[in-house]
Amino acid sequence: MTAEPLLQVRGLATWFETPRGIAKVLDGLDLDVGRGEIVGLVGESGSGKSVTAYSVVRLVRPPGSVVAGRVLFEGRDLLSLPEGQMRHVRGKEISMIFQDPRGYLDPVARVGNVLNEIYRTHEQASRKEAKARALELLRAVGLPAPERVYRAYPHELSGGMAQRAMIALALACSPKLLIADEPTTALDVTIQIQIVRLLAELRTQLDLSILLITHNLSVVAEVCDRVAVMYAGEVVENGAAREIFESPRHPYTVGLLRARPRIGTVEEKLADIPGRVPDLLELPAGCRFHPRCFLADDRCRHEAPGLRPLMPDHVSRCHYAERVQEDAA
Amino acid sequence: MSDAILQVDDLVKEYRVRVGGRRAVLHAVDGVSFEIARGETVALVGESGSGKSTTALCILRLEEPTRGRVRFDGEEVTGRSAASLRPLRRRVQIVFQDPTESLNPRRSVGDTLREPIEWHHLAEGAAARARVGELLELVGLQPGHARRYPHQLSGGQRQRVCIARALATNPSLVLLDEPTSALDVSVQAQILNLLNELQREIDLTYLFITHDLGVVRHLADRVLVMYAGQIVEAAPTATLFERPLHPYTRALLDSVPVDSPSERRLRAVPKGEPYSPLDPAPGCRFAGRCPWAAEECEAPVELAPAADGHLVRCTGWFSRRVPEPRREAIAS
Repeated sequence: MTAEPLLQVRGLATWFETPRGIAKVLDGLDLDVGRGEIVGLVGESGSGKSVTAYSVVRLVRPPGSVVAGRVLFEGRDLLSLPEGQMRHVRGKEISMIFQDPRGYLDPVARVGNVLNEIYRTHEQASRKEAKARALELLRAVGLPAPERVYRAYPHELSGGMAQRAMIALALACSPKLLIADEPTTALDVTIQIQIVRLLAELRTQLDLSILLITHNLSVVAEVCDRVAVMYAGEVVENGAAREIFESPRHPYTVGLLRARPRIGTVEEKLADIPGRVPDLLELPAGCRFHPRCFLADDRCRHEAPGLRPLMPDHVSRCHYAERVQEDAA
Repeated sequence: MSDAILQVDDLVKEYRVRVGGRRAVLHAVDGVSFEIARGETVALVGESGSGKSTTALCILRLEEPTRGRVRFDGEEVTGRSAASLRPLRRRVQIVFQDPTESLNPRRSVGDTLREPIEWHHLAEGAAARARVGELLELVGLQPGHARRYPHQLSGGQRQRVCIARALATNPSLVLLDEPTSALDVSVQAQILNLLNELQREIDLTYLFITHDLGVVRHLADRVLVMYAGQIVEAAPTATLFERPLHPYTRALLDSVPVDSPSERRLRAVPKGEPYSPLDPAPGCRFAGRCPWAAEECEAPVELAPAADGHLVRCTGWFSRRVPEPRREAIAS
């Protein structure tokens, strides 16, 4: 994947006005999604991962706004496109799925009708052609009875089926990039793995790129090629998934990986991360993670670290990235 | 088990519902029996709609069971008047999933914690205030938190308050209904560690309801797996993870995402959707998703011992159609 990435986010800043001041939810974010890649964007609540997604598709609503940066999609800066063209990008080139599919599906429209409408308006398909393509797509996302789902209203679908229907709608116009915001979080364990697998299959079949936003590191371990870890509005580490899991180079990533209760190992005590996520209006000076960090020293309290390359494809926002491994042991 | 603190016998909870205009009976909990020994942590595992939370609510009689018996410390819980339950309620408490919804936003932490103490006449005035300070310390908060309101606390701190409230009456048994599911990973670990420490310090028994098998492995002594209102397998934790017998338990374990990308492997991903126990057929409820299902699975099937302390509800296991689980599937 040496070609130019499909999506390049550079210096993205999205701020929210609050009664207490301006919350810099994102402040200079860089992120790439390569063609055919599944990139995991991982972080805890309030880290800014969903705001990143909304900023990319320009759906941030007041009191929030994108104040700086570039979002290059196939070389074009989406942030400077007129709204009319942006609308064309959304859905046709970039589409999104969410945590709660039933909250985003029209409750009074049959799934098939929505799909039909997409094909008839965007692709000028005939009625018959639209229906055939709709059924084909419902089958492609693994719905066992496509004819039944075609005629169904969202409330008649289970959570897993609704998420598959949502994926079908998102893929109707063959987008190049799918942004999936916590797509499996509301689902049961056995259904979660089905959806994760489906995303991996669709990537191969449809040559799709996926930005998978999740708080669940194990979901990332299951399908992602690359991982970007976010903390308090910043990417703190970014690299190949294998690298990140096997030799994490940021203390926060180390902490997240160890805090997971895993089924393969039994520890007497889980390694938790002390303290809590900082308030974006009262960010600590220096490194944003230093109050919770096992490596923090004077330098970390005063000097904010930048993202540093450690290897060709691995960056970390830590003054002591080289030491993280030994000191964590 | 004579030292059983909780005995649940053939518990049934049915709801009469209408589905598309048709009357039906939802068998939310359908003949659940188990015991918990003093000091034990038992995990009740299942997916949404499996009946695990309803079981907890029936134990507390926050839902009225349709049939069955619940005994706490040898005393009947079912079939008693609400007023006569009060002394029992002091000794059985519950912590819910969402600490934000289960705290009164207009009440300070101190007031929230003082209420159960005063309601059960455990202490008053200065003694009650001292007890609040003690409880806060016990769950890792500071005495100063008593003056705060829920919105001034983080999610993890709110859950600590809920735990402190549950402990205010010195209970022996605490039901934990997905207590960490709404929390971030780093905070979840803090709360799980806290629950572990509390159990060691103050002699608690836990019934831990969760869908997260990682949490189960970490915390539970014994596991009950529920599917569509019934317990389908019961075993000590290590046994369940090393030798899962019921096809549903195997499917659950196979569904857990890998710990690291280097462990990616081809696994049989369970097919289909969870069974909804609406007017259920008499046979095995998992048969529709089970790779080993056969005609014999249509006959009623009971939970039966497969090994010492290991129960399973599976006709195919006993007729040797369901094979021994592959060890490598679970090895770390």
